[in-house]
Amino acid sequence: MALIAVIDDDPDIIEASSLVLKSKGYHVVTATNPDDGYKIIQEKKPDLIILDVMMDEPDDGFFLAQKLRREKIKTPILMYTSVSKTIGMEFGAGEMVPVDDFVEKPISPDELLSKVHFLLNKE
Amino acid sequence: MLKLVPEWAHHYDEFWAAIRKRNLWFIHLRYIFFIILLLFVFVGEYFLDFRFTDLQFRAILLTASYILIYNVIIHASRKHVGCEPGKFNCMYLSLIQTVLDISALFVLIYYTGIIESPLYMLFIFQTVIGSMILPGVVVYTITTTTCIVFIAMVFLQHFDYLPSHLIIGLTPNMMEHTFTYDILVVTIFSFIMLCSVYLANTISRRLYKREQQLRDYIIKIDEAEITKQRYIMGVVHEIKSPINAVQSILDLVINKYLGPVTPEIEEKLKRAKSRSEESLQLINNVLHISKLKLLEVSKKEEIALTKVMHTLLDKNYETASIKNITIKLSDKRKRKKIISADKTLLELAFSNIIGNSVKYGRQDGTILIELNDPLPDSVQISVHDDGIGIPTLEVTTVFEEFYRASNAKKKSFEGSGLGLSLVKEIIEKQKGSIELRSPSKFGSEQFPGTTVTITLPTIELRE
Repeated sequence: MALIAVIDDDPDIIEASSLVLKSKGYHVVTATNPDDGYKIIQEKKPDLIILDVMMDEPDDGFFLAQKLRREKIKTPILMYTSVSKTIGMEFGAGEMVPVDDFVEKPISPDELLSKVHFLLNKE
Repeated sequence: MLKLVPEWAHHYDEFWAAIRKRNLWFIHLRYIFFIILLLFVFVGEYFLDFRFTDLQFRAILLTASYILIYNVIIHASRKHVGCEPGKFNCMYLSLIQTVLDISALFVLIYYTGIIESPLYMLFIFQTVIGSMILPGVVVYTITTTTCIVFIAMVFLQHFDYLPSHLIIGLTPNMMEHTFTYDILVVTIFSFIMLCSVYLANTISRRLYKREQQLRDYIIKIDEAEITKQRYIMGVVHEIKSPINAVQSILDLVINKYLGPVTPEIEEKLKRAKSRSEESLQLINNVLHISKLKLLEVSKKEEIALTKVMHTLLDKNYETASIKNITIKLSDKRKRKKIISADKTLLELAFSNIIGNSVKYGRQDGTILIELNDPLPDSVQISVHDDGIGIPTLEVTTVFEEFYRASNAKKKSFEGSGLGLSLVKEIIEKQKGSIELRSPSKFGSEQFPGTTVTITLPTIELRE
């Protein structure tokens, strides 16, 4: 079964996402900051990365996504966002976010599972 | 070099605009003065009861031509004189104009009878207007010099060292003035000169300063508004995170990921969820309003388009290279004008559009960015791609918030569905317009592509 990395600075979100994903038999590894997230991606080579925007961190989720793509890691990335739909301004000017899909928080289990399923079966 | 720009003039745009405008007034006034002089010389004697001697006639005509010649030269050269402090700028041009005018006036006064000349009143007019532009020291120097030269001329005339070129017919009974009379005239003249120059200079300086202060305050208020809205967005965002977590946990229980739930508990949990959804809705509204406010107070900066485009291309190069997409920039503008808009917002808008072209572009595709100016006072930026395109029926609806074209959704491309509505909002705030066409000019059957055309107003350097 596929391995999914969940990287978010909110432990409750990690727990909730993990429970939902595990219930469908996915294996889950987690990290609570972008640095640890980068490490587990390097070590565990997950099939899918769920990444929060993590605006509070100095190197936020966008930064990690860009770093991964620069290093030619093509694992699909599903990004959790919190304000993007409301304001659309958190995406810094002149930057593109190289992720495969977004999930708007609060995360509905059905939406999460369908997007995960889609991304894992795209290849 | 003499420093003519005052310390307090830091909003240079406004300051220089005022100086240039005043210079232009002077130039127009001088043409009028030239015509009046000609009328005075050629027509005056037919309507009014006076006459000029041959010498006066020639002298006035020569001076008038001299005024006309230097006025034409100044008029032609003012376009080329810039507005940079520290260099030869339009302030120096107004100083030169003032000095030339005063010297021409002296010649005219000399040939029309000095103390008997009706023209010496023009000095007051000249120095009052001059004192609105030039700094105090320069104005007082000019005024004092003018007074001294005039006083000297009057006394030299009184003691017959200078000839009196009187206008025939103005003073039918030629009387000798007493010395006291001359003293009274020059004293009153100098008094009026200095007083009006002092008043005009201080009042206009105070007005200029006030104007600059007001600009400062407007900028401060706008900055405060931006800080406030950012703060609100930050706080509200902080509030949103725990509610998101609460909702995610509630979802777990309601969807029975943690085991069975009795109907009563499920009902209560659903109620809790709907209430917390309400608060999320409120938060989203606040965020939305803050965003609109931020767009409202957007700054106005002068932007060179090519520079913005190159920055954007650099930033998107890497993402585009993953799909091996080539981005080309073609500048077909005939006039290189600047636009006045908020740079950050404009970059955000363009980056969204180029980002879309990359996102929905095909492997090994092409993106062409064209700059053009079919109309003289606007610029057109077109982004053409050969990506998946937009179904014809949806070309207008993609601008709606959260709307994503059906073919984009089907392929599950990344996208929040907010990009284009934000782009449209930004462009319209900058008084521009946006238009979408699909297929684009180099689309194929399989990849129709999209053309996004943005029109933005351009500005001239202000007069």
